[in-house]
Amino acid sequence: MSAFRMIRLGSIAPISLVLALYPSFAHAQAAAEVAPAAEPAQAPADAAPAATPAPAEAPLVAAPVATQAPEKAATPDNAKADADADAAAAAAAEEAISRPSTEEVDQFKLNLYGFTDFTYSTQLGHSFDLGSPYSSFAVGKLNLYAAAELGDNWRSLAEVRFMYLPNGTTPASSDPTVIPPRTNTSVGDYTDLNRPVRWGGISIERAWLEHTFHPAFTVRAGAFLTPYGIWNVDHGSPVIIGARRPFIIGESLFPEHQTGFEIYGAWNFGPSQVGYHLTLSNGRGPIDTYQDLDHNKAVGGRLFFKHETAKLGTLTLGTSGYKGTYTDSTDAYSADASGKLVVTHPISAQYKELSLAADLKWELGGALVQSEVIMNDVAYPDDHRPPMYPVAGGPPGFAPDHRRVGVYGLAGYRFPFLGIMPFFGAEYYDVGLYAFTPPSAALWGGLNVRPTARVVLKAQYTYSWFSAWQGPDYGHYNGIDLQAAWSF
Amino acid sequence: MKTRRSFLSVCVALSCLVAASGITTPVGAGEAKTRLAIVVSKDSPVSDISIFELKRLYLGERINASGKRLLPLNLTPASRERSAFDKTVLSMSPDAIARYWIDRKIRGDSGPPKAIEPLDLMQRVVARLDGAIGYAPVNEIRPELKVIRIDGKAPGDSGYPLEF
Repeated sequence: MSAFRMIRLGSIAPISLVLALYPSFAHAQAAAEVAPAAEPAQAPADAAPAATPAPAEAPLVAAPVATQAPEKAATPDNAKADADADAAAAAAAEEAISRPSTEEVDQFKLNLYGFTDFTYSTQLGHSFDLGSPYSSFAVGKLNLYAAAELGDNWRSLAEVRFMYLPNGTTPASSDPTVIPPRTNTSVGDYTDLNRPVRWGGISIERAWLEHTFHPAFTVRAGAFLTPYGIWNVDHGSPVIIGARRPFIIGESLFPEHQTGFEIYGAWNFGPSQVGYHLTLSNGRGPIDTYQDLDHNKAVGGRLFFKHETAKLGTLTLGTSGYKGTYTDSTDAYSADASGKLVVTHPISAQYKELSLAADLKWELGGALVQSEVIMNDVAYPDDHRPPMYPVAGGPPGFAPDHRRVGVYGLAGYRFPFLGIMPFFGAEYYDVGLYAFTPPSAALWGGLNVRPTARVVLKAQYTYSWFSAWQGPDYGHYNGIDLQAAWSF
Repeated sequence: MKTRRSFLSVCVALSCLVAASGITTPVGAGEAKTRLAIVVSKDSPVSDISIFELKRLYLGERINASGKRLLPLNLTPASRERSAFDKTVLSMSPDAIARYWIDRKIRGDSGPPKAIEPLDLMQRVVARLDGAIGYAPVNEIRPELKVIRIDGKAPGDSGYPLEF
């Protein structure tokens, strides 16, 4: 009950005094003049007597007092309505800002929800040698959210993804000529006479706690999705327009997740809004979710500007950046001359990286246009430059510093009927000297249908190819994806 | 001729009365336009809000007014006033609203404003809950509430945006 405050019921604003007290008499008069012609039945009862005592506070804007519902005498019905209002106010407070109280602790609510997708993929003509020639059904993402308002502007969110992986994956190998065996997670199930069962893994997508001091200043701590662009945060299958995100979004030109702190907020200026995100994290690393292997914390940020008008819709422009150091090291134990145990941390891999991105999103009615351009620069210290194996064989060389750049654009229009949205898009990705693959490009399009808010049906055709390729011809990808994504 | 002139005079007088009323505008036989007022408790220091702030508030963003966080309260989607509010303030259809909140939750953002039905109960909650803000047709506002202006306009002013 501490989340709300009881006010005295029973004061009715008398027309005459309200009008006399209110400085902007003209407005009040205009409001009072509107005789409730459309509500004749209420008019007699609504007419407040001029002799009614003055209210404790006059309304700033004179409400059309002549049309206000009168305060009724205390009756069982009124008492019940008041009790209902008390309960609803408590519930609203709990769901919104809620302040610590015994009731709140006792009635704490955890909000569980999530999303899943099921996809059928097939390659048409099997003309792309690097892709699977077989069509497949797959349950892709099965993500579960646990969100909670913790009171006094504290909020928490955890999102986990349940996976079939690592079953069936092939571990990375330092020797490209040796293909390691497939990971097999089959184990005997003691609940079923030790018959084999394949276990899967859980990926912690995010787990954070945040406190909002002001709409322009919220501090978030934990594991979070890197706030860059549009679709790294909007990563759920029902939100993505196509059957999958554009290729470059999944290429980790920015780290997808970070562990550390995020500060964000926004200011409103009429139809415009300016917002920011700042991040401080472990950066990328082999175990960045729980340990930094160097002293260089990664920093990043995003700045966005949003403007909306009735005629031109909503336009959002954003720019993002990230700077960090990837380091891998292991603990090495040795003894010094005196026999004392010495632990060192020799670096086995390291590079510095800088990522920059810009994004644009325009929405007007059912129309949507969005685009992101992302780049990532990697620079290796010479003593930790990794080997690079030529595809054609021969001795390995050293990986050069490189820049990867990608861009995509998407346009679509959602019709009111069944929420049908035809969409099309294009993307381009240049891996630079990162790998032996040339720049690639893709065109895609299809239908996104939302028969209900929670169910999304998608059909997408994708055509992609390597451009400026002077090596072997791997053909082009020509495929169709059919997907059902739903939230629950 | 005299009868005709008298009839015209009556028509002009009636038109003036209707135009002067401002809040309720006949648009057809048995059909009238209603204005929604934005209401807060009488003790609230909030007296004005911009239409953009109102939209952002009801789309889940935190808005402070007079140093205090505003808590938006909604009616349930089935109500006529809610539909009108969504259309005039949010410029969104019921389906678009539903999609918006699903997408927002998947993004990890907070959920929609608390929806309370009926209108009378929602107003009582607004009156009791510190920082709460709601809406109601101007002819159904409870006396313990205060109507606030939208971009400086009161419900009786011409150009008031919340009309359906």
